[in-house]
Amino acid sequence: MNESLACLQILVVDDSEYMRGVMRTVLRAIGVTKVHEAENGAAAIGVLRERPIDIIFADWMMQPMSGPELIQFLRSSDASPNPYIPIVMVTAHSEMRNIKQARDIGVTEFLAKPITAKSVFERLVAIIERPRPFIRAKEYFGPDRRRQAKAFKGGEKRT
Amino acid sequence: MTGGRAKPGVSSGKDADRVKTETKNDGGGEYLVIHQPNMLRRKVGRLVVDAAALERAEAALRALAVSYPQELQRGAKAAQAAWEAWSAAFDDATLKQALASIVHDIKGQAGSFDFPLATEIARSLGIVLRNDAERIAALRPVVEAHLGALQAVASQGITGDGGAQGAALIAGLRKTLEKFGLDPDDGVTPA
Repeated sequence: MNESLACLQILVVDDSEYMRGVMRTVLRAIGVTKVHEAENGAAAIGVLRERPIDIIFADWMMQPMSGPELIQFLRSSDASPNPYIPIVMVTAHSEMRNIKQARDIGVTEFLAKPITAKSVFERLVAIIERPRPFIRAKEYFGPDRRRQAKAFKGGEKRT
Repeated sequence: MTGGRAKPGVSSGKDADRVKTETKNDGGGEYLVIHQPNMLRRKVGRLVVDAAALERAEAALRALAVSYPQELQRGAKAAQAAWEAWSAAFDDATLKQALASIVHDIKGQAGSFDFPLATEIARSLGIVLRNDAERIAALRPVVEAHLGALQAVASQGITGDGGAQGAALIAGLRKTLEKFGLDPDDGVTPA
């Protein structure tokens, strides 16, 4: 287990209780012990106002507030609890149209289902080890959309 | 955005904690680049790839897969019920959203638990559901063929690609989509 990950507070936003359970199981197994949950974007904002959340894993399709609506609120609203928070979009919509939309509204990372423990860990590595600067332009606020392809140089522990 | 003119940054606080900014203009308009201190790295430290922890996490996922067939059956029944509710009131967008949401969940989850056939059926049904209510009303046989296929996969617990039976099922759904003028590969990410 990555003991260092135990200090992270992660929020999983998904309308499927089953899928929240899957994400919770994977995150806990790789060492994240503080996993919070919300069933839609509106509930997520409530959690973000009460807890010092470090990273969000959000589903795409939810009601009453969808993943894209949540991200737009967090990045653009004056009432956002944290405009800079890293957001991983978790979705079955692994099609180009959604990847482009997610990128253009300020998603930090994109995680296509089916998920694996390795893919979840890799997103955490990308966020923590290779954070991108934010860009504020006339029509965009969010992580720099030019991805820097640098390999993870962290240590490897085989036990 | 590379190679633009950069103006000196604005900063505040201690060196290690300061936010650095620079204004750039690469010809497409001026924009601000904001370099936030990496507080997560400071909080977590150096991340270590723990192969054993990853394997335990994959094992935990496999353990969850044991309960997925019941979840898939529940989802297939819920999709059928949502379709029956919506097809009785096509002007109710909320009912369409409820169906789309269930199909979306199956599409996203099934593949994680060795039900890629169910994911493929849900993906294909998603193509139909992208249309407006009036068009979908005319596509009733297509929707019902998909829901029937989903129920069959769920009730028979067909894992993997389903072999010859699965291939025939998918080929049949593709033909049905094409017959009604829909592209079975709509939205598929190019390899």
